[in-house]
Amino acid sequence: MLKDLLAKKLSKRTFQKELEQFHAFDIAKSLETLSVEETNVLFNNLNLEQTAEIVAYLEHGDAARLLATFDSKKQIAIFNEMNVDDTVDILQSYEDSKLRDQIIKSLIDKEDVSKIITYDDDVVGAYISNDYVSLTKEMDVKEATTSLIKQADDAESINLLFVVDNEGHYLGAVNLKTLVKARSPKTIEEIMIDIPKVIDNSPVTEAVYDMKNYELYELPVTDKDNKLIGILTLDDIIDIATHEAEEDFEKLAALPSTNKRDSWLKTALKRLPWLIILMFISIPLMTFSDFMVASISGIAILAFFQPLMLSSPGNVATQTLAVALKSITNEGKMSKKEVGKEFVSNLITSLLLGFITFVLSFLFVYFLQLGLPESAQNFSRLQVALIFASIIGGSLVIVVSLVSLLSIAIPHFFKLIKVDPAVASGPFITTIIDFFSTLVYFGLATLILLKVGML
Amino acid sequence: MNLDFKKSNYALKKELKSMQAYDIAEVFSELDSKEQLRVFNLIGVKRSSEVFSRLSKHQQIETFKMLPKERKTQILNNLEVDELKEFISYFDEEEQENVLSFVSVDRANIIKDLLIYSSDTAPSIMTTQFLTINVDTTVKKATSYIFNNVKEDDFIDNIYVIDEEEKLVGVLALKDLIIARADDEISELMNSEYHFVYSSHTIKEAIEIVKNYDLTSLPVVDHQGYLLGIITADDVLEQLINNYDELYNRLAFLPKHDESYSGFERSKKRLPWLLITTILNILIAFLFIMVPAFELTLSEVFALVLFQPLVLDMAGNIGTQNLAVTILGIHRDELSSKDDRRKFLKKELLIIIFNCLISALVGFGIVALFSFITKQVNSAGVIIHPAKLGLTVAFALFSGMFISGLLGTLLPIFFAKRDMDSDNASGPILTTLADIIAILTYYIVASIMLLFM
Repeated sequence: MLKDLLAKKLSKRTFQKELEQFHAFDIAKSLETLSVEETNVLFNNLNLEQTAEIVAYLEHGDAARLLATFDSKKQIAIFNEMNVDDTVDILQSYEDSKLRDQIIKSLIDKEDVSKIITYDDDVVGAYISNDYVSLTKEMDVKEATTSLIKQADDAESINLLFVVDNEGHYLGAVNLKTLVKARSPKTIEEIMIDIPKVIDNSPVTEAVYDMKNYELYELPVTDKDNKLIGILTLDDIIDIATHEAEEDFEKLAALPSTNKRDSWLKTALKRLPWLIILMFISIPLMTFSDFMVASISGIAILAFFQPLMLSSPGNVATQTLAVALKSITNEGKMSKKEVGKEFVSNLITSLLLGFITFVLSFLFVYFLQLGLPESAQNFSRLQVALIFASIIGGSLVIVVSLVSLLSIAIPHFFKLIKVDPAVASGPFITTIIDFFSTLVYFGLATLILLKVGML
Repeated sequence: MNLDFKKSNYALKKELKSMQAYDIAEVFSELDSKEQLRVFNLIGVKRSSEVFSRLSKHQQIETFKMLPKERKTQILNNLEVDELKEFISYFDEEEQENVLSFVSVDRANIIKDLLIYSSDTAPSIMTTQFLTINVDTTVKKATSYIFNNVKEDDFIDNIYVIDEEEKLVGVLALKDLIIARADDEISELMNSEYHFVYSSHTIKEAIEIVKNYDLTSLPVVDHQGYLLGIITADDVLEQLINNYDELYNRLAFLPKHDESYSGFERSKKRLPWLLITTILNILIAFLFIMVPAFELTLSEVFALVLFQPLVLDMAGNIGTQNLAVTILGIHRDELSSKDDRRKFLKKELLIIIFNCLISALVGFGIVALFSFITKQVNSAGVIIHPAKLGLTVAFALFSGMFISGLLGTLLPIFFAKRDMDSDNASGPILTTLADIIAILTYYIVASIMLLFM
């Protein structure tokens, strides 16, 4: 264990040697169990390369706080040992922006860092790495191999070697296997293949799906003029994919991102706003219901069936919403075919649910004759059962068959007005559907009851 | 992207050439079988199998059925081993034999070995397409061995180093081999402190290791130390995304979803639990009608119907939040020990109580103010005290939300502990129970408050 090792008070050299048996990830993870003193001992005994590796595995905020305890000279030296993308992530979490700018100016990779740091953290540019091998198309395969060996040490991976022209425009890539099997004379252009690229300002989710769908280990990134400016590596994409997926998941439940270490009160206060907002959305619904129920006031059976009218359409809507949101994140929008399928699916569901509801409520009303208006006495049992079963079953068919429209349109609408489509969470869509259910249910009830003369 | 099948073979071939295998696979489901065959004929065997491997499960089976015999053989023999294994696993045992008859004997044997592992263990996503070298070999020999023997689909980012007993002793990055000097020893170049999993480890454990240590591949070994296969990072990404998609769908109570399912199939898959909740809701409606006090209260104060949606929705909302937190916690393995679970439950309980209290307070304010402004009256036309309606809603909000939040936390843990698929069970139980409790409290408090006070 790290703690035992620290207690041994080894010489710097032996300590560094001993520490090699630990992976930087494990050391970073156990940092929080160390006291301030132990942490100091640890970092005093490490060389810069080891320090950089460990710091890169910390949460960005924690890393920034840790580095702030060193003098600025040491901070710069540590950053110089780090990947550019990690450097940028950590520098972004610096609270002291003056110090940050001062550090950037003294870095070896200052140009790359100051460029990457300008990207928002939801676009590809923020995650690029410059540790790749690049070749030019005119190179002979022999020349290319020599160039590869020179560049290989700094590259994260040499699976794919990226080809650019003299101005740095991206042309394609060469597979390492092809290169080593090729015999001179042959130029790089002849063995180059087409590997899809992403633009630096595209959303990171696009890169995640490109990488997954094209089964790549590296994805080239260009600026809008097709200049190759870096690559995304699979290990970064795996972290991004995890983060994005968890965020989508939490958004579907109207749940703000929470940290396990937050206190219960802090977590509760983070979750509360959405609950309160959802309550306020239902104020207009109350006013609307007040208007809708005026004519059917006192008919208890209609009131007792309202929960059914709210819950079943809400459940169906949430399912379709989940499908719609996934399509929007993956492809930007839902294809017409998908919309059609969801619509058909909900239509079938609505007919079946409506039929069952009709039959059951018919039986109940026929045999129980409870919760009915006084004027029902003027009708036969059969007539009354038919009337109420039609209202209840009919409303359910109408509402459920049409919820797909709302749960597909609303997230698309949000996207159109440049609001995150995922704001349309399950709870949000359920509340909106309630308006629709109330309108159809009480509307249909008023209409039918008026028509048969029961009101 | 749309393919134009009126074009000449030459023009179509050119168009297909500019497309990635995945992009061709994406439009595949819209083609009829004749067009699909034409595409396969034009793009060649290797690319055909690449396209095939990117089709959805459903589409793979459909397409496979219509392929002529020799195409079946070609495509299956060119799939990567892990892709072929996955495809074979879609069939039941009898059919598997049948499908494997199209595959070369060597491959069929590898696949049969792989099929033994159960679908949630690490070996089930491993591939056998990698290269091994002997630890005693020289840099020069190793390099020429690798480049003479590498096949197109082999993973060579890392080369696996074995001893004379063929046990795994190290992992050598190809990069390091390429920049090595001729007199370097393999045992010095390789990493002997490599990460690995045993064949008994789960997929999830393997994913965590690849993710945390930024690996591009992870060896799977048996307990004697023999290398069985490797898990590559691209498969980890795919698995990771699939796992999260599953989690996402579970939160929306959406059964396994595939874009290729028709509207009818979707409805059929989703119907069972929708049916259960609907029927339960109908039964509850009648149970409530049969309680004379409830019916009396409601016909006295029909305004109660105005706040039903609020009470029901809020119970559902907090339930969904807690369900999400818990499912995510289980997925991240944060709730595996008893101690973790106790801490988690204690924290969540405090959060639920706090948020229920605040929500009830806000609910009281909203309802009382609303009733005051709209002057809600009873059946006799007398104005109902706004505070009475407010209190009724507040009590119902608190109890409904409390129960729902609690169930949202407990049910997933309960099902996970029993290793049950909670997809189908926790949804209906959560929503229906929460609804019942919320409405029950609502009418009980209303009856007491409005009839007897």
